[in-house]
Amino acid sequence: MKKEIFNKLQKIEENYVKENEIPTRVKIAEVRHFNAGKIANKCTIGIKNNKKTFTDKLDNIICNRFLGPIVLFATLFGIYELAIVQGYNLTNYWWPVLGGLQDFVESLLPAEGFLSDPFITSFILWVVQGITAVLNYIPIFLILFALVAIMEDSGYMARIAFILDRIFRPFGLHGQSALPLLLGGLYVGGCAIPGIMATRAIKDERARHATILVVPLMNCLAKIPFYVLLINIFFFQVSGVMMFLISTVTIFVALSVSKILSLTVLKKMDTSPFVMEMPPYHVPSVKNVLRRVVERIWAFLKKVVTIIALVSAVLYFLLNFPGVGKESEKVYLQQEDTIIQDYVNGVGYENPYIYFLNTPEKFANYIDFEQNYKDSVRNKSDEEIEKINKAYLIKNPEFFKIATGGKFGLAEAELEFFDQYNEDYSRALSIFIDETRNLDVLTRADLFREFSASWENANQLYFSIVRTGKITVSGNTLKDSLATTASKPVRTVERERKVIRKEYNDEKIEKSLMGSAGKFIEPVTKYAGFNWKVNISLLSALAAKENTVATLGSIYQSDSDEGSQELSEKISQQEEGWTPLHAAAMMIFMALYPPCLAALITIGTEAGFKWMLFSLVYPTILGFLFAVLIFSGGTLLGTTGLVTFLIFYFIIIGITILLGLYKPRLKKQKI
Amino acid sequence: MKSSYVIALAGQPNSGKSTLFNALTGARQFVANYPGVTVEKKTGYYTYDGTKFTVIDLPGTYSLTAFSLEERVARSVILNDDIELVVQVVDSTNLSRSLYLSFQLLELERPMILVLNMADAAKKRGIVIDTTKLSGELNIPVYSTVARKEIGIKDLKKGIFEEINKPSKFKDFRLNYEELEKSIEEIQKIIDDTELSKYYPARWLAIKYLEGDKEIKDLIEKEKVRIKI
Repeated sequence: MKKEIFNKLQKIEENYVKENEIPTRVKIAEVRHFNAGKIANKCTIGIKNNKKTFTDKLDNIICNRFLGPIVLFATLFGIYELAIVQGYNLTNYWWPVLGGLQDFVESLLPAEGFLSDPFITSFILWVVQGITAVLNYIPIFLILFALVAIMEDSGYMARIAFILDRIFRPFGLHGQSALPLLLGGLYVGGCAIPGIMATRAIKDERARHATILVVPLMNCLAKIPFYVLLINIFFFQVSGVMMFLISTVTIFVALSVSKILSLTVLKKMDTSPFVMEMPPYHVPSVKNVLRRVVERIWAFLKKVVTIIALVSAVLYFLLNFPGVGKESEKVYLQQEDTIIQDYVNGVGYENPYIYFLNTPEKFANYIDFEQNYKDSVRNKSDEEIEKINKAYLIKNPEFFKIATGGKFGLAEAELEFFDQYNEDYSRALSIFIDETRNLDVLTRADLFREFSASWENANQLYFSIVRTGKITVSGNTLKDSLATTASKPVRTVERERKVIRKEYNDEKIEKSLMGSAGKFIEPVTKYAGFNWKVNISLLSALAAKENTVATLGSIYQSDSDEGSQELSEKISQQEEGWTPLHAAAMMIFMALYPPCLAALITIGTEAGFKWMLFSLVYPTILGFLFAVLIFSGGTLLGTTGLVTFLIFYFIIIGITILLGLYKPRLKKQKI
Repeated sequence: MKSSYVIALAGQPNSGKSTLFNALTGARQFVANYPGVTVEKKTGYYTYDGTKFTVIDLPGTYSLTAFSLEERVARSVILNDDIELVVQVVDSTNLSRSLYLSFQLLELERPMILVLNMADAAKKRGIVIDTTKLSGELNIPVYSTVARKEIGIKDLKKGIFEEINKPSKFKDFRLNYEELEKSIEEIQKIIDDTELSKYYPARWLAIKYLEGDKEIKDLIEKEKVRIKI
């Protein structure tokens, strides 16, 4: 449209305003209101009763200046308790189901190797674990979404926003930000994913984005083990105080950050004037609530699962490639051979069982077998165990006997028959050996095959039991002392295997792209007190924060002894230079750590890719700055970890208060 | 006569819009997001007398300004998608506030039906609405339902079917803006001469312009034809 025509429109508007001294928009709203009221009155045959409705009465309590907040906090606490706490309890029942799924996938894949696992096995399991880690939250979502739907349907959600809006508004948040922040872990232990999902209720775009971006700063459950680990080593005397400080500092940081974000990057985003209608209360219908729960869960699954599979695949490559290198690989393979050779020497060549365990591959198969066997007999009745025993006996009698340490039971009814069979077989065997003594090896082997086949035909199960070793029956237990001898040092081999697997894995991580990154940034991170080992474990936390403690564990694995030592002891032994200041810096970094993969993806789907990247970058920078502030600041001042953290804590509170008081001049919004 | 129609449910939050949507469509519905935004788009369908009706559940809004995402989505769907009938769900306990939205919906000049929902709750409070009179005032059909108990749904389906099959569907209702009418007409005349009037009601654009609607001002200034969400 041409400029002059547009100017003409402006002229028309200005003329009207000049003549009538009222802005056009106000006039329009007035006319609408007036007519709406007029028509409504005309068409309503009202027997106006001034009786207070149920809603009015309830609102007298719920929106009351004093009672309101009490009811609100009780409700929020109830939701937290039901969704997060009880939800996590439910995952105890839900997890075995997912574990079953994982086991099922595992059973379809090639078995683990002695030192390292086939690529396809470790890769697919990694991805599946990534997915199940998120699926694990489903019980929480079920409860949470149901509660949120009930609150929305009943009309209480609108009241929450009304009551809290005054507290949150100065920080660029919204009354309805309370629930997401709480779910994210207002004090200790929440989860950012349900928190981010719960922001959907916030209608104000700017406040919704601000909330999404600060929810991950709350204390999710996975950060807790890391806090506990460091607090136990470095703040043992004041563990309660430190836990309180680290858990609450995040609230103030979140408020400040959201204020700063709304004044800067979110400035241009839509914000709606706070118009809140208090709908009448009604009893939510079960059908509606269920429908909404199913809808939301399904939407969540579709989005998160597909993306997480993709991203965890990428992460796998970052952590596993390029690998340890040929030279190292050779060393590990030699170690592997040594372990097996030691085992064989220890047991002795005259023991027939060693021929079933004399290579790393056989040994790996055995471990797999033993694991399966132990899993399947766990918590089973005697009768069931009997059946399982038989199945495993036939599958691989030698492995079975080693796995049971050479001692196992047989059904009482069978004992007599077996005893007879065993006696006959031993006799027949010694006769066979005598008779064939002078024949050549090949003929002898042929004859033995025939001999075995005939005994196997007579009774497959019994033959499985007797074909290797020497069985004696005592009471209702069968014993094979040779199998017992062979099984004893198996533990040692398994332990040594674990050690070299861990070393191998650690070296792989260290030499991986992620590991190189950890070393590469050490010159910068040293100002925060992080060495490259810490860097790797912090980087690995990107996938999920649960990884941090696990990775620290594998990096600080000591060489000789097995895991009897607590990780905290190992760290304090190997890192004598570490002070509480190091720990305080690490903890603040962890507190502000970017959201885990699943949460990032949730942010991506709820706010968009741009904000997903933003929520990855800004907490990293902020957390790092704070860590440097604490570590370098404390070093300069010569203060202890606790004092430094206290100073930091009060600085943050001060900043929060100042930011809350600061009100940017807004254009007056007329409605 | 067409064999399938698209209708849209508009209304305020808490007017029982979703409940009515469920009562109309039953389990045959699916949820997606509007492209590029996080507003949920619910679609469902039902058949009446062999004719398929696709129902779009618009986001709940109090008005149709450019202020919030929901309101922009709602009006853009009504204007840009092939909506053949707008069904406004009204909370019977709060008629006057709903009428505020009705006026704005009517200004979009699409065929429309009004549904007075939660009639039972209104009755309990001693509010009875004269549907015939209201229908006369607004010049559109008015129905009364209790969606939660699925009362009045059959009649409503019949009403929708009949209304959509009437030869001349748009009912002329014009809210009189008094002294402002002169300015509205002047602007309307100018807009009538542009491309825009082919796609959007000129009177509506004029009113929105005077309301200071940023999106519409942009639209008029740049003569963009489609409203972007």
